[in-house]
Amino acid sequence: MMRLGALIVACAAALGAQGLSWERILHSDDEPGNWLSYSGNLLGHRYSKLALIHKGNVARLQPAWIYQIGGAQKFETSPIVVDGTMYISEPPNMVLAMDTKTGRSLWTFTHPLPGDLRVCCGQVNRGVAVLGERVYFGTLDARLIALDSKTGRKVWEAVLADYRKGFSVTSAPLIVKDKVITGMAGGEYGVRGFIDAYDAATGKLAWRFYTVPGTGEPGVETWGGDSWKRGGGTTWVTGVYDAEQNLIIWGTGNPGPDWNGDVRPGDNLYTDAAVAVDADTGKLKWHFQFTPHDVHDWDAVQVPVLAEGVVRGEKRKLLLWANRNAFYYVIDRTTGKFLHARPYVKQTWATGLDDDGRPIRMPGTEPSVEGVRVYPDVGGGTNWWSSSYSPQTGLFYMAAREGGATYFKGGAEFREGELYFGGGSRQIPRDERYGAIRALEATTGRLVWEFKLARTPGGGVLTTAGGLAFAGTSEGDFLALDAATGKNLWRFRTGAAVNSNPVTYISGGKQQVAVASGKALFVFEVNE
Amino acid sequence: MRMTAVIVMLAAPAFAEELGKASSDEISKGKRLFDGLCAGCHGTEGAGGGVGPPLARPKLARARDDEALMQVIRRGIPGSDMPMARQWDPGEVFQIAAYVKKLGSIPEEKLLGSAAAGRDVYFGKGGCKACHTIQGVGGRLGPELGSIGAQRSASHMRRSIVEPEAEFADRFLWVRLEAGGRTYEGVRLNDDTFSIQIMDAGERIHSFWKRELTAVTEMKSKSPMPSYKGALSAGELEDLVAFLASMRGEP
Repeated sequence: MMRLGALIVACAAALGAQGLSWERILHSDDEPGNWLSYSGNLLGHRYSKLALIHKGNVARLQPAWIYQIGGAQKFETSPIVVDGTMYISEPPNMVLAMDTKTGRSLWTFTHPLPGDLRVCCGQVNRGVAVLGERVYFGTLDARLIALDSKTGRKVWEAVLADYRKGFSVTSAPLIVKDKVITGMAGGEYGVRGFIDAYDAATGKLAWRFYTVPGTGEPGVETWGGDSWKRGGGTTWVTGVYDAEQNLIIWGTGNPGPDWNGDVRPGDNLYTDAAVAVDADTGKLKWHFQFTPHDVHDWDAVQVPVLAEGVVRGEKRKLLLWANRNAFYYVIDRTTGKFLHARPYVKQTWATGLDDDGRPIRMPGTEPSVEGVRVYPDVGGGTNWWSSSYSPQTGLFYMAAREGGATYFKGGAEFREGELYFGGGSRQIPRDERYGAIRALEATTGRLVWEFKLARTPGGGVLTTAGGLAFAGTSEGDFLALDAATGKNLWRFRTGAAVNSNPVTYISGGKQQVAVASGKALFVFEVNE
Repeated sequence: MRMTAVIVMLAAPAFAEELGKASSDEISKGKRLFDGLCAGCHGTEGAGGGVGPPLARPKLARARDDEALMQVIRRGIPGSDMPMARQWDPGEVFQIAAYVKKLGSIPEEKLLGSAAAGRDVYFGKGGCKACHTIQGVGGRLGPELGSIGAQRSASHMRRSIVEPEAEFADRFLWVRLEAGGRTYEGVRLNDDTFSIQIMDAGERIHSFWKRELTAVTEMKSKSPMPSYKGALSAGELEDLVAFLASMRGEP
């Protein structure tokens, strides 16, 4: 039996160990055995330097373990893995720590939810963030909660906004230095979007950046009357961090109401945009709006991808973005200046983009009472799931959706806490709808290869130094493709749609690949 | 509980029975509410928007009757994406429900023929039984017709009998596949990126990996059903339509 003195010493030693440091998160590319942030690194790459699983042995990939969830909601989590422990969220608002070797949970935390949530599109959660000995996650009733990483016990809880007014959180937080950055959802409820930064130790709000400017702020003139108050511009997918510029770069959602723009004349800044804010103050440094005055619900809520490359004869720091509006963008991320774009799926709404990247709308493509047929559909060329950038191949990988919709304009009567669509859309009967995993040349958006799918996909892409691209289908398959050619090297029938982003890491000396599909988390490794 | 309260509770469902009697003003108010609130997921006119199911159907899986329909609108469907309508008063819920009900309703049409005579055409001269099932009896290749009268108008059915390729049932697709030097034709049961399953005209089920196939032809405007134009007299056609219109999914 341990003597009391020795016990005290042991406890003190444990307190001295501070868990996952910011330095480790910042330099996550140096420890590919872990998956330390939502996108694997802070640049949004969802790429791993691991090559233990490679083209030569991927055919022998098998399930190591499977974790099954309860409930009826979509399972969208992207795991975090720190030194053999995996942290996941389970819908609606549970958090679990799992042992990656055995698939057994170490602890479970359940956040009790009220019965009158306002969530447009499922009681989902896309994952957690870890810093020090804390696990952070957002809730459907618009809270940010800090848990102890070893016990799952609650440390603090901050309320972002009143969920009864339509606010919620579905995205994983982003750690930047000593702050927890979180986006929010509710763009179909006439909310006003923001990005929040909380002190990681105390849960005190450090800054808030409103994605829709208010009275007296520049940009408010892009909203008719007081429509900015219900302007949307939500931030429901995790952004990225550019350490060299100390900038947080984040995508913003659709203006509200979605399909009836009459009540909000103007460009509606900063909806459907990339915004770059100072990580310490939350002050806007630059913005780039992909779809001014959007009337098709084309949220720019994708994970920004930061890379470097030669464009127009000059080596530049780039922001790469396959947008829901069907165009692939290359942007200078020091200024937010547009460099280049091209469509990556069929689109019929813009004749092109001008020199500043502003779309030139085709006349007659706005939703109408009679209905207007436009490509892409409301789900867009892609949606919230992650793209991947491989420094090894220089390619940008994404899950693409092909298909159109007939868009209708409806009434736009606002009631606080209720859905605020202002119209709707319909699929086109017997439309050529399909999906594809596509690899684009990162600096141009030129298609290098595609792997066609019978249905439009709903999950993201992971690439690895093993020369592989992993992706899920909505038909219930998880695939490994040759990252250079798109050839299908391995697949596993999970039996239900993949609505999540895969991750990879090391457990017990073996590389594992994890992906949520249907109502289960599948973890694969190569059976020697 | 006092007697009057009991009476009020018993009386409440009676109000719900009146959905079909909503005024055109109530229905148009319902449409306005629906377009702003519901069409985002269910599509305008309930045609299906890709998120929520289509509602322009005479039978809704979650709402067997008028009261159930209003319940779904009021309370949402727990565990699904369907939210509850918190700030809509009972009158507005009634208006939305009345509009939704109208979306799926089939226009009343005067039937010219005799259902009893149509039954003979169906099972006799028409040979419909070879490919269609009614109440568990018949072939498997074509759509089930046991509740077709609740799903399609008389004029729609009349047209489909004469012109089978004018419009197709949901998801119906006739395909031709080539594998191992043989050709297979049939109705698609399922397919995905890697495989396809069909039923051929002999009701045999075939499943293929797509990599085994040398050709796949999706015959989007092809129906295996013959046209009955000229094959049935005008009277026989009307009798057959009357018989099908009587098929409402009830024993």
